[in-house]
Amino acid sequence: MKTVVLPRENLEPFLGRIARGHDLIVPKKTGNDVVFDYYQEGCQIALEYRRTLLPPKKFFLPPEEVLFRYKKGQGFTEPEPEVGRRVFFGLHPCDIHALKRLDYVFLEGYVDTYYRRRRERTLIIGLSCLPDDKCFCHSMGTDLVSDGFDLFFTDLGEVYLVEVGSTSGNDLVLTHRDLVSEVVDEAILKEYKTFISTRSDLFVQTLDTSGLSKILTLEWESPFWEKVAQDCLACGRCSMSCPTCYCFSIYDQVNLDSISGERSRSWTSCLYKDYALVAGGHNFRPSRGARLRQRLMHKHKDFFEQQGVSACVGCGRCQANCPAGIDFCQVLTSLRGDISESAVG
Amino acid sequence: MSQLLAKTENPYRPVRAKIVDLRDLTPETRLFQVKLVDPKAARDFDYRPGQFCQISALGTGEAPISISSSPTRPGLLEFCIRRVGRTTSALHRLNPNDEVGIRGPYGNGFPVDYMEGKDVLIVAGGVGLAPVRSLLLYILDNRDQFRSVTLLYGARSLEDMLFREELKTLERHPDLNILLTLDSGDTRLWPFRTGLVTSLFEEITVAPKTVAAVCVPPVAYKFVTKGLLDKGISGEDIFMSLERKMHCGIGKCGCCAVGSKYCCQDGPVFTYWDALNLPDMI
Repeated sequence: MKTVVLPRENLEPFLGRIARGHDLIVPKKTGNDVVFDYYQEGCQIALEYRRTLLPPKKFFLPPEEVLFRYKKGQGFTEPEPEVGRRVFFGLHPCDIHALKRLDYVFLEGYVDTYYRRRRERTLIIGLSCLPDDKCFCHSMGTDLVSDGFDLFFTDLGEVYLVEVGSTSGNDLVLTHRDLVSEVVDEAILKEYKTFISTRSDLFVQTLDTSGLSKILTLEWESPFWEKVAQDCLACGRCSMSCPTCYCFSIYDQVNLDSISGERSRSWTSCLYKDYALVAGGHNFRPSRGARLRQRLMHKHKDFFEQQGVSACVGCGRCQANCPAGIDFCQVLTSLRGDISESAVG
Repeated sequence: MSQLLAKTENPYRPVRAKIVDLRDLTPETRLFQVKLVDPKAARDFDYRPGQFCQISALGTGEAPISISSSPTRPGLLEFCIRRVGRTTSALHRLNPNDEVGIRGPYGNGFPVDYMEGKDVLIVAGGVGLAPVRSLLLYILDNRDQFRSVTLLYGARSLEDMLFREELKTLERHPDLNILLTLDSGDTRLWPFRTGLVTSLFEEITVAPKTVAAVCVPPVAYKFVTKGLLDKGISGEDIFMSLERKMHCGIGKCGCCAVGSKYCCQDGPVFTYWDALNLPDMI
């Protein structure tokens, strides 16, 4: 992979120039949180953030979007698609892995027009990170990333080591070649090696994933699920903040003229009581335990069986955002029998 | 299998269809006969018994509905729509010549090619006749391709039985064995049986190469599949059409997930063997 070096002081000019020709999305500090948002001149970019409140998916699968406008007798018309190139800067490796998981869902089989358009008009610039006590990407094999980005920046203090992952990424580098250096010397290489080993020593949270899908299958009937679910509020915050939770529902909203309206979709969660409720009143997952189990099963077993990788990328958002303080890693570890059940929750 | 849309087009876009005729089958269930507005789309629309469409009531939403007609009788599409929720209630307020939106056909449907040359046992309960009626008509129109054909159909009461007149006619068909039963209710004028659909199993003998197609209410699958297994039918040869909440119909929205399968794409027809592998399927 082509690698170049960007001196730290050149990052701001680099992004500033990109922002002139693209819609630039960056991690921004807002109160105590960091969120992905569109860049504005002079805004402060959070370069050393741990995790954003919401994951990148909101720029590809918005929380709510209009699929069609309809009018009686005229059928369904798509809203004018958004145009222009976007550059999404600052995704951590876990979030890039998460986008690749979403690609499986939305680009395989039937192609989701809306997701594809947004994905195609967006360049991805990754950014290295250091873990906090909730990160467990190293357990999920998502702590490093070798594709799925156009550029990837590793913060080595004085400089960023920039991996070029695509021709579009290469074009960006070539356009701004006055800001980068093609010389990756021994000292920088040494810095990089030190960064990698230092970072891997910083992880606190771990999840033993060996045979996890099989253990989950065998523990399907366990009373453990209902017990954990006693704390669960079924609020769906884990799903909303999950970078790979993609479930949505589709609904119509009628205009006052009663003959036209919109068909939209919005995020939903398998934790919601009506998620598996069919017309006529039969609920396939009536209990919170069954719904909590569904979420963890889908992450660590079902998606794994479909795609050969877990849907969980170890970003830690579900745990960071759970109002009941449920630690999903601990739940799974306890299910493995590696810690006592009473330690959960 | 021709889809309404090429895969490069927007798979969420319904096409326009016109209601040609409406007929009440029960107090809650109405038969919709619809025709696609675009003549080419109407000509090209092909499907397999057991597949379903997403039907739009403009302003209310979409509902997944099995196709009740048979691809052997092209032109009109038929759907049995039971008034149970918001969308189906909105559909029931429509009149002939009104428009609906249609996407599909979706799902795998019944494996009619695999069923050829075998004895076919169809088991239906209540509104579950809707998808298997497509199979029954398909078999009738290709009768020489199949060995014996038996339909076991049960409904709560006479007024809950779909296609009563059609079934009474078919019941006399020399090449079909149709056993009808009512759970209860006033059965004085009822020439057939009473009791649950599983009680009909006592009356039939099952040939060695029998395949079963089943569509019954969710709670009844356990009992029906047990009966079929007891009759010696292999778990791989029991094909069940299942119901789940569906929004997209194309394997994206996640709502119909059953383990690692999506009811909309991998189903809605699953074998009993699938059910053994995927917890909570039936």
